Amino acid sequence: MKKILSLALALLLAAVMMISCGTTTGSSGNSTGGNTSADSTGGTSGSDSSGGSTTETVNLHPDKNIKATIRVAVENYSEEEKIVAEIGEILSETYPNVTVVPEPFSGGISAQYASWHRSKNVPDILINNSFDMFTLSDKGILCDMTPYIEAEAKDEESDFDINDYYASYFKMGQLNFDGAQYMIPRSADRMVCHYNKAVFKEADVDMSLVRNGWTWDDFMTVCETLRTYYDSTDRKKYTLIDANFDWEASFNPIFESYGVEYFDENGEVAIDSTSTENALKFMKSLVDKRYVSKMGVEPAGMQANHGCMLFHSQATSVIAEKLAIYYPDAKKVSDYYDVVSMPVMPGHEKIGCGAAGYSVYEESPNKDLCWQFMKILLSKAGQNIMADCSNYVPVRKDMADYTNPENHWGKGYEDLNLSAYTYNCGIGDDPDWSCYTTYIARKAPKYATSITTALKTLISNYINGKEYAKAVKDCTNSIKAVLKR
Amino acid sequence: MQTIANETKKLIAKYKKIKNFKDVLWGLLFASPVIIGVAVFTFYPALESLYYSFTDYDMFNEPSFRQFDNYVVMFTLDPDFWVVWKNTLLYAGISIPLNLLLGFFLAQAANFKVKGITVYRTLFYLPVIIPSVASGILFADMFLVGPSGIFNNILEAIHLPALTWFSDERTSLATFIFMNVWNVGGGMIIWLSCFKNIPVTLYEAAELDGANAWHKLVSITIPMSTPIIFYNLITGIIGSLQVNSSLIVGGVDGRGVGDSLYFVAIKIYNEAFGGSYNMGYACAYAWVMFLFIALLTFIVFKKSKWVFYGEEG
Repeated sequence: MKKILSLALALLLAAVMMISCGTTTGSSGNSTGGNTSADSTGGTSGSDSSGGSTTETVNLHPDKNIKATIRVAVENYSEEEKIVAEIGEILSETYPNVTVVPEPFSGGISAQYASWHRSKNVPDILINNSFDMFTLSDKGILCDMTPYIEAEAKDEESDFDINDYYASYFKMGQLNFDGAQYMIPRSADRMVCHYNKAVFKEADVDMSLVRNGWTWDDFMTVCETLRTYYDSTDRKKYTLIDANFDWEASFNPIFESYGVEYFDENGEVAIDSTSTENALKFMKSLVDKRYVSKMGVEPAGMQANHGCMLFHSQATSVIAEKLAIYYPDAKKVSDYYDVVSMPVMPGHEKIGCGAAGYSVYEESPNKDLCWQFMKILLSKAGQNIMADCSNYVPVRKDMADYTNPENHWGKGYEDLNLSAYTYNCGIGDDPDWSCYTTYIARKAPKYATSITTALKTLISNYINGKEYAKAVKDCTNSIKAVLKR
Repeated sequence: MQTIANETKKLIAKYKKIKNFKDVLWGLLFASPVIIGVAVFTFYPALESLYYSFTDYDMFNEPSFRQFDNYVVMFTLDPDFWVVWKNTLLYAGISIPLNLLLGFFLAQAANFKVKGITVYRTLFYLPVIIPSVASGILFADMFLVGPSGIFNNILEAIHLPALTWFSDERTSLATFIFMNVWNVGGGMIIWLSCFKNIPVTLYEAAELDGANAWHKLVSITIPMSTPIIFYNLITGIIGSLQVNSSLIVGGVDGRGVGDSLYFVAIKIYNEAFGGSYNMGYACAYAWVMFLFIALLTFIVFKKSKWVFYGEEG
């Protein structure tokens, strides 16, 4: 009996391994009932975008009886799953035999997508962001959506117009930020300064300074008042601002405002400059004055009601809900919380931003349907679904007005200064102060993470007391070594 | 008659051979789940990683063969190489003997016959069963430098100066070593099982000869515990050189302030899964680490004549 059991166990184990290690069925089941890859109704659109020189045949009007399952990779947040599920419902109104299935994952995008790719099991649509999109852009797994955008421009029936969207955020989804469209931005994620309005009032801050477009000088004046207030009360131990200087969306605009050049015209590392030193000195001055905590030390903690400012692109609803527990008697959110645009340097205005969005898997058999998914996501209805689920800022310029009840993203927060999120974002004649990580596009995508890590280490080392010469030399050597690989 | 006897013997020998062969076959069959599992999930990936270490492999495209490029870059160009090895060796050099000694003394304490000793033993061992992620988060809060830092608040409450813990590169490695002492209970249990196996008669005989506690320790307990010292030493070397728990307390990328907690295993993780997709390079690092650990283990085995395995040993 034992021998038989042993034999059975061995066979079972072998069978399980064969099944799990064997080749799985590509992506999400093939479409049936309609030709999704070539159809004269959509026409052919050739894309010769820099770097993405592909010629794709696209179909903007897939057969309505098409049968397919679209798998959408989403990070493990219930809001994201809800967005995908609700957009799937709208999609199935036109395509009743199409099912959209959110596929949540935890952990980083890079590890997860690599794992899926090796097991030949990549979902049709992949959640993405501007940084990961860039590092994935040379792996051959992302589909260039430019042909679809171009075909829509030529299609008379189409209601899709690329000009309805913030140009910067679409650029953040492009190869080298100016080429093939590898990611469709879902939301306009811009850095703003969240602040505790109640503390500002108690500290008697001059609120005329706290306005969209305020300068770093205005900001320093406000910080001085707040520091005095903190020191005169029982908040002496706390710093004021969660500045997130170890995040590229935070440090890069400061560097660029100061004129820091990461690489010279020959592509050589050029980080060691007076501009870099000045930018670092500025950041360190915030630490020295106890406005910002050192790296590795407890941050100010605005959301714990310790600090009173936070530089982040996070939706207002998230921060407001966290602060609400400290102000149970407040009649409205604006009694204790508000947002304002990030401070800028006059003449060199830069505000950090990034885009979250979705990419289509290059080998997906359902690309045309995926584009339909994207179109719904980008439509007013789709953007409102996103706002209802997570309060993210729409990527459509015509939805910037948060006081308009048709636009859901400001719902419940109309009395806050939500225009901070879209301030000088390129609407109409407004300038576009958006600043994103274009410096990584100077080198091949495989270097992006290492270059950014070297910059973060430079900031961390300098802020924590290392001499400029030593810190910048280490950074330069580190980037040079990476580039020599 | 003689011929018949010889033939019979031959037949018996043949039968025994067949029976032995059958026994071996069945034995292999019984062990096959483990053999297949280890072969498929350990040896095959290990060999595959050896191949990747000679390639440029990003996990998406086919690996392209680059001969020894990864190793050349690692030893000659990569500024992280010496940093991670310096940190790892320093950590191992301090934590291995520290954990050995602390485990030994804790086991000695837990070996006393006092009331409620099982409760103490359980308490000492309890941290080992707490997942390292949970304890990491716990310690990150305890060692926090700032108004909410638990240890610093305690120090200040008793009028001692607050310490910099993980926030300063000069103190973060020491803090990390101190943090890992938390798991000393694992070593303690092994020591304790060893002490329990030392025949009481040896101590009784020694006492009759007038031996004091020190004599008993150096002449009986330690010599009889050498297999456990050896075991703890080997597992300590392997474990400490693969240390990676700074991912939780080491901030961005687990490197620690000023790269003070940047260990070899963290470097491997960051290269492979940190967004650079340098799997080939990460594999090269992993193989250098493997060979170093193997060499160190080999040396310790070669120099293990001091280990006392009893009469048969």
